Amino acid sequence: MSVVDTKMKQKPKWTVFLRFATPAVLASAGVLAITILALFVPPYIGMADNGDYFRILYSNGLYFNAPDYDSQYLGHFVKSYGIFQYFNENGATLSSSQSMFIRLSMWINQLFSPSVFDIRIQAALFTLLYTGAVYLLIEGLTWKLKAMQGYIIAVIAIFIFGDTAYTAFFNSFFSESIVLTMMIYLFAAVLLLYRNRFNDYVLIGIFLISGLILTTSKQQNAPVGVIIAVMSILLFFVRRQRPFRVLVASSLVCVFAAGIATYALIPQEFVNINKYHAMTRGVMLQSEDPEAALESFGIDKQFSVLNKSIYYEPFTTIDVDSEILQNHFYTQYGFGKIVAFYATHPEQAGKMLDLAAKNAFTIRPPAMGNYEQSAGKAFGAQTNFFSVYSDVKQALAPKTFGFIVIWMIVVIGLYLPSFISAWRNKNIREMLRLPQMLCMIAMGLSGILVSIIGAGDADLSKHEFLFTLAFDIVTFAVVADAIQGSLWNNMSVQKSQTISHSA
Amino acid sequence: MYKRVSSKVILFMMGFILLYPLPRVLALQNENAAAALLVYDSLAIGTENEGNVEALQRLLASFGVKLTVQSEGDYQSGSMFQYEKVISLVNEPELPEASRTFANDLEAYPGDFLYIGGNVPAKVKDELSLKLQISGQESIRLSIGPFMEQAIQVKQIAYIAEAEGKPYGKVVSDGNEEPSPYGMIRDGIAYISFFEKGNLSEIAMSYMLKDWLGMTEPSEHYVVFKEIYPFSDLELLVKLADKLYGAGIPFMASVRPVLSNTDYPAMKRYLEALKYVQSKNGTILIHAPAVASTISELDRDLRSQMESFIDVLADYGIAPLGMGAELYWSYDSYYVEKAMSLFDSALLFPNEKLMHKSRTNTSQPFASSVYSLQPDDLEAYEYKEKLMKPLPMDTALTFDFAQNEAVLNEEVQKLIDGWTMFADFKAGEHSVKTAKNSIVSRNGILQINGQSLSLVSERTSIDSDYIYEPEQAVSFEKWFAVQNKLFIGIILIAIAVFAVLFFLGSRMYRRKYFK
Repeated sequence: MSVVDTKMKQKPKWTVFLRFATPAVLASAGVLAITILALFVPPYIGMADNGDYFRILYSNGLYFNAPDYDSQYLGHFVKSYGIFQYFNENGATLSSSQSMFIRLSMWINQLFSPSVFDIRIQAALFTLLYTGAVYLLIEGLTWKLKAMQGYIIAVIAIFIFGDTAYTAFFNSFFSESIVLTMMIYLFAAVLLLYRNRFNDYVLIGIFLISGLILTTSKQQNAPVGVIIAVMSILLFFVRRQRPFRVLVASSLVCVFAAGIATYALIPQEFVNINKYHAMTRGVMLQSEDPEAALESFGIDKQFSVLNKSIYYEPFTTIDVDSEILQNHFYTQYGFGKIVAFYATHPEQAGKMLDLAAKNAFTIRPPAMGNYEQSAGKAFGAQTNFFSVYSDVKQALAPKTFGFIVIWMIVVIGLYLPSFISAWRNKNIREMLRLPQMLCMIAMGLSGILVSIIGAGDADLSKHEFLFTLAFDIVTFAVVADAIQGSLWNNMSVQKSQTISHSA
Repeated sequence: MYKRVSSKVILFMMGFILLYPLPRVLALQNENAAAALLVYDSLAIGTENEGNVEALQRLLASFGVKLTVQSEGDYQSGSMFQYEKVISLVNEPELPEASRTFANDLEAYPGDFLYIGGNVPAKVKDELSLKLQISGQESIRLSIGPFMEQAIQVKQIAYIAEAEGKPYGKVVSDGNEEPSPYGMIRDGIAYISFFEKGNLSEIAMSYMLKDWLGMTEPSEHYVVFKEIYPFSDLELLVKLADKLYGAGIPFMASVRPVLSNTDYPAMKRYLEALKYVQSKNGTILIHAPAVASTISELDRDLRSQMESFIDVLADYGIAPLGMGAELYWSYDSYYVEKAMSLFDSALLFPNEKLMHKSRTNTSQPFASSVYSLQPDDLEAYEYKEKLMKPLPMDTALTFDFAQNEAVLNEEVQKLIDGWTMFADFKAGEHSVKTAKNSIVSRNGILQINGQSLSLVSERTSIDSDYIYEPEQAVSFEKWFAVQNKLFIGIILIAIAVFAVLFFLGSRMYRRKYFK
């Protein structure tokens, strides 16, 4: 009897472990633990300021309080900032959902210090949100899956999403931290809808909030709102109930409007930066005859001396915001004219796309250091802690646009049969997976195209964060689906052995 | 103000240049520039006195003074004794004294001392036997030399009622016709009742400074055009050169440097235009590049960029003779070391936007330094003589290069009609040195590496043909071409075979199942 009892007791222990340590819990706990080790245990890992911080910092009531701050630009991560103790006369220089997170972090920070802001408070906030995002993503991919398959996927997730090239952004004022977190929430929400896991209304709520925050996190993401709204139209047909359809329709309209508003609110300074690069690092860069290219836009050919120059050159022939450029250069072209130019010069467009592809697989921008000055590391030193995935990706990914095209074709090809099958079965929910992948791919491509058309090849490694993240999420989902053998058929109709939820 | 210049004046000017065989004695050499300390009470940001410190800095720079600027609060005990001359500028007399240290040191200071503004220290009062009459806000009339300005509003002024020394200028208040001196100097101790940028007190200050600094060299008027870019209207620049040459007016062009793509046809056109300007009695100055950012991940060496542009000009037969820059460049060790040190002559413009890289409070003096003045500045003053005499310091009437012909014609006509004699900058001694080239001017002759430069120049038309991207060297090109053709052939044959098999297969299928 006692032997039988022991055996019976041993089995439930294992089952209890499985019940609580699901792949989703394991993946999110793993990512959380690694991120805590990286960001909150000395030497703290973060991102050095590349000169962009002041815009978001000062408009939110923070300032550089380190006396030697200037000497740490690009080289060292700085974790403490001053909080204005008097009226802040700095108006908002840009409208971004990032301000919301900074304000919330500042509010929490007030509990510890009224005058010094510790960026790790913000990092903690993002780490918690990110952990939740990873949990939902892995839950969507591993629900009702065999234990071994689920844990393999969880380990891969830790390997990819725990990479410090991603999480170091949490200890920074770059909006990439928001893009990272919200894009995973967005993907996970649709994935869970597809899997019919959790309450649909709650998932649409997550979809709406993450879509809005993602779209408004940075000006470059303006097209993202439009892409999300258009590519997610199928969500409307998932359920017939009127409240659900009203909720979905209004969510899509909101996200679409957010995209338009983000575009409309782009400050003139950004317009100039991007327009400058669009011409000097785009149209002229790969042209065999920059003078002719300029003349096709009605611009004086003498401006060809600006070819290949960048806005951030410390010393330039002309102030990039000067009246001459304003009157005789910037006014002569816009987004549409540049698109038309590339359409009529496909060879040049191809060269630009290849150029973009060279930086499309970089997660950690090479220019910014990760350590505090007090850590004693060299100026601009970057961490190697848990960054195997980003390093391998950077080193091994074929950096041509042709590879990106093949990747897209493969992904679409893999998910097309299940989409057609769902369409024939008139099962809208099961049709969601392909548009979801297309949405991610389109967002990633928008990152590349907006970078090239809007800003040429300038600062590509940072501008293409959207693509590199979309690539990782989609590829990870493909790998996860391949592990569970559901690339060609739909998971939501599969009857598999469950780990915990079906138990 | 400006009257028509007669042909006699032009002849006089040309004769002056020709009959002036010796090189002008330079005001100062860098190494023996007078070292002065300027101590101010407040920068008076946001008040009408904001900018007074900068105006004084520019005046002193034009006299070649190596100036150290600091606030009274930052003044360190004993530091004034390192300087030959000390200036104290009081912008806000109502403010309490920031530190007694400066006042205590001043009592024992043996050198020359200039005090500007209210709260005059006892030492100055005693040395000049000064009796002052303090007055509140009122309107005054100020005259100095041939200049006079009516109705200057002052917040507070200390009139010199009695003093011993050499008086400068006259100040008359609205309510009192009895004039009092604007300033007074005696044995190196000087006092000026008020100083405010943008009115005649700036010019009046220059008259006093010249004597107080012990400068005796003659000064000149110049005319300079700035904001000239490679993408400016170069035809208009040529027209400007032709018009001024025709009117016998030598001029300077402060041109923007091109720091990359200097082999492009667009650059060649720019160089052609500048060479033509030089041939029409125009002197080329290199304007400081725009400072877009003081921090940058881009590793750019300003010195090599500037040297490269100078060398491009020199190789094209263009001799730049100095540098045009905002004043703050001379108070930045980075800009001084990396750019200004290549030149011994500078034209310092008012600050527009401070973009320091390595700020210092001590200026870089130049052997030849020209004060920039907007044409409108002098028009605000009454001038009692016909011919405009040079101001105490070398002065350049500064125009932004016009963006259309109508404005250009108007500006040139104004210069022609005016009674100002403009000197040729290259008549003075100037030198520019890079690792590759040594450019000098002496008696109007330009030399590059010891070779005299011919100023005769015809413009050459520059063709747009240029290979912007040289073709990359390709390895095994022929091999890959053959390989490509081979593969294309194999693929075409494979497609043909597949099509034939497909056709045969479908026929067999139909025969078998559709009979």
